[in-house]
Amino acid sequence: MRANAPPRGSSGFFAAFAVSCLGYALAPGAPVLARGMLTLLAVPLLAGLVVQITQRPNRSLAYRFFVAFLACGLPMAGYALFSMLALQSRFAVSMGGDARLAVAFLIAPAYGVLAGCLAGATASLSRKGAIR
Amino acid sequence: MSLFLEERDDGGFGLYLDGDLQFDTADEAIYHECLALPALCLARALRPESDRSLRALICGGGDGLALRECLRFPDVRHVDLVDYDPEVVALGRTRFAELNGNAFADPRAAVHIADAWDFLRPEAAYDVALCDFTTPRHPEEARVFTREWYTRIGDALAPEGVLAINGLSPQCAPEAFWCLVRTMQSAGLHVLPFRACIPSFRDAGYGVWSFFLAARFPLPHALLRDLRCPVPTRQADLRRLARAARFSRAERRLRCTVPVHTLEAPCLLPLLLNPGLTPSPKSREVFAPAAGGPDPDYDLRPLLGAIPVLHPYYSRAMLTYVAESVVGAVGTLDLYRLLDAILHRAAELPAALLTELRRLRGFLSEQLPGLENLGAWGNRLFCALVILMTIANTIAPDSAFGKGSFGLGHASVSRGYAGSFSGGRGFSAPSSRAGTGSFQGQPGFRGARSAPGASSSFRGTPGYTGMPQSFGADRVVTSGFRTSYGRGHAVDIYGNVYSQRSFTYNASFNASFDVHSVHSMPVGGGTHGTVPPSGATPSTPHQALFIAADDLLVLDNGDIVITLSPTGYLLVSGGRIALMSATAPAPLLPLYANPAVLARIREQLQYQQMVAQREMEIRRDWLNWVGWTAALFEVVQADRREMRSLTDLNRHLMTALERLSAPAEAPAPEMLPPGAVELFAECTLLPDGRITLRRADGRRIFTDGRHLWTEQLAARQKCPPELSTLLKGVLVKLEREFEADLARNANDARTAAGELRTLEYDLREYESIARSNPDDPNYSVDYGTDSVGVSDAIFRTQQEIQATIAQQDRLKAEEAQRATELERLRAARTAFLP
Repeated sequence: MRANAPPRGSSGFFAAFAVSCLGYALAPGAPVLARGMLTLLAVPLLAGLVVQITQRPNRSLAYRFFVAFLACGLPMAGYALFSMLALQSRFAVSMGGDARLAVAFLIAPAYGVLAGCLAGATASLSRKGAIR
Repeated sequence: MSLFLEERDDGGFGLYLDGDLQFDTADEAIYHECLALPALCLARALRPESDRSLRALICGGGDGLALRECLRFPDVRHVDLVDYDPEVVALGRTRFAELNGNAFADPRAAVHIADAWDFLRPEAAYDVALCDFTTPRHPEEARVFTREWYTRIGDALAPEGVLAINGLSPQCAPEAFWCLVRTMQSAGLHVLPFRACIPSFRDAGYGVWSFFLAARFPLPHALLRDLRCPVPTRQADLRRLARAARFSRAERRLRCTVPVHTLEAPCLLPLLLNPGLTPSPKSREVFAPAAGGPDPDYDLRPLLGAIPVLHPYYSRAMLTYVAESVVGAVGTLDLYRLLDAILHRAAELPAALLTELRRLRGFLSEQLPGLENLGAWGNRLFCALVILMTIANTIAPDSAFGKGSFGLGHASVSRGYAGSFSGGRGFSAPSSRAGTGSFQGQPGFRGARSAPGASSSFRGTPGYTGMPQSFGADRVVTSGFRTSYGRGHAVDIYGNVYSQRSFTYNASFNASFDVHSVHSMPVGGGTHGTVPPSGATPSTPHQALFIAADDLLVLDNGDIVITLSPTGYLLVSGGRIALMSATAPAPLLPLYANPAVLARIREQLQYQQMVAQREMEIRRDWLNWVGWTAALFEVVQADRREMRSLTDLNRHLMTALERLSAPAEAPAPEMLPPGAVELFAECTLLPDGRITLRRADGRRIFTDGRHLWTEQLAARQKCPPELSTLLKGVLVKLEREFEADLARNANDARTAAGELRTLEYDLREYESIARSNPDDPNYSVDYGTDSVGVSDAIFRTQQEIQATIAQQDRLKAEEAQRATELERLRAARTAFLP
């Protein structure tokens, strides 16, 4: 039963995940504007393209979207979270530190969702043979 | 056996054997007097008056303190002390010699390094025997608390001999306490226990302590009531012994429930280690020794070698001993028997409870089939949380764990900047006191002054300490810029809010400096600084906006104030410095604007600006991430406000820096006579008691508090009362500061003396070890947290001793200098009486 199941095609996920991680690893050194463009535009687009290319054409759009969403959204959320935690720790006045931590934990998933949606939308662009 | 000596600053110390407190010098007399004197008194009372000479035996007690008590007793003619630990006896002969009155040198004392068990002979016929053993922590140590031991020592007593025993705590281990009573009784002894409260034992968590008197004959309470001691006691009150020997019925009832501790059926340790355990007769077999025991072939050394020993109090030997004890204790456990005992107890559960438990199990397996998975998910979640917290803690170290922080992060003490004008003074090592950034002005002053300028301020005293409206004393709350900046309160860079303070002075001061000041008045006559000249610009109050250091304030118009005393301050504006009175808006005296002073102010402001800019940069980054959520989160709105406040502060600091311009020319530094004490920038107390101030034109004026004169003109002018009051205020504050310095110096000297004693003791120890191992100079010893060769340890300790002696010399020199300067200040203050 399990042997007859179609292969899951997870290599696309890992490739997109690796691209995202690489992109977010480069981001901290960039200027503010370039960083924003890189993290919220370039990396999600690139990750989405990677998923689109590596997935089989017979995959559903929803499946592609979900794979790209996870592959880009998770690193983005992690990057946002650790960036905000690092910034928070550098504040000389630690007043409101707990509230900032809460904000960081709430905002980071939002960034992840944003980047993930962009990557997912890119990945689910119609290709020949894709199941709608 | 591990031995640890904890020395205190007051010269006292406590001895720990295997981690257990044996005595503390503060109250050791209570312990040893309670142990020795009642037995000696009792034995003496039972002897005929014609022959009251006593023979005593002390088992244990290698420290010599029980021996001291015995030898204090006039009727004692011979004492045998038997202890198996030569190390403790060696300490008794050396380190404790002063404490035990050099008891080992007494000809009546005979010391035997042997096992007390083997030493005892039935024919010895001692009149008094004292058992001063440590509380057992190991089965082997509990041997001298068995019935067999008490039988043996009872046989070694004379028919009217008395036995005194160091007991246990009837408060913390009542079962073990009564077990000992019952054990002694089973050995044919009559026992009289009594309590004693020993503060150091109580503080160590041992509770109320106890001692036992035992003999072959009955010991009624009346004996204790009528006890007469021929020697005075120091701390123990023997008149209360009879009362201390009373135990309630409930307490005495416990004796019937505990077993007897014998070699074949040892039970003392379980009772001692499990207070509250009331064994039933059935459970006695649980105390029986388990078969087997620890595997003798198992080598612990590789495992123990891998454990780092970092604490200065704990040596590797102690760790090894504890680990072996644990392995030994675990090895003696009979798990099968333990399981049987647990199952036996489980079977005693009420049937109804068992039925309910079975129903619960069935319900869970039917209704919640995924419950087992929940455990697995819980493990995963826990692992993920641990990893997340580890990473988060790496990014943002938590100061609560003492890891501190980098830069200005968090609320740890590392926030203080050592090179600033504040902080640092007196809190660190004595050597770090001097030169932490003073405004001593010219290099030529450095030799002439010491303490005040070497402190952390522009003048000797820290800013507002002791002032009615003191920034230092009136720090209100730590709430950040968001609530306070620009709202009338002064703040520092960390958001600490200080009480409101304003300075009113003549606005034209900045423009021309051409005011009715003392410099135009003194010798040629005229008005002094309190009366404004006709047509002068009206005075304007200026709020203190920012505290750059304890005594360095930035006003809202960018001018800078250096606080001196409650009655005066220095105003720095436009590259000029003026001495101001708090009661007059016009400058008392324009002072020479020393370029070095201005440079230090500039340096401080630039540092504060750098900190502000760094904070702004961090907040900007933070707001880039979360700024769009300001409508949702209050903290983000607050961060935005704080960002605006920081921007405004940065602008004010820039204004202050622009207004702080250096003077065009910098004359050569002046040399002041030796022994002069700088009061503040350009103001010095001379050795003859006069005070000199350097005017804006570089020339000096002199005052003795009553008159003013210059070098050029000998004619004297009356000193303005504002100036006299201001200078006196500075002298008073400096005097307090010097007194505090002296007190700190004395404290440092005491600490250094304590360190020296410890080092000398360590050196003697190392030398003793080296003598014991003459063929191996690299014999490994503990040196702090390291293990080094003994020769290396001796060398390092000698170096440390030399360094400590040098430090003591330096402290003495500083103390002498400060004392001289303090005397000079006092004399000057007296001369400045209004």
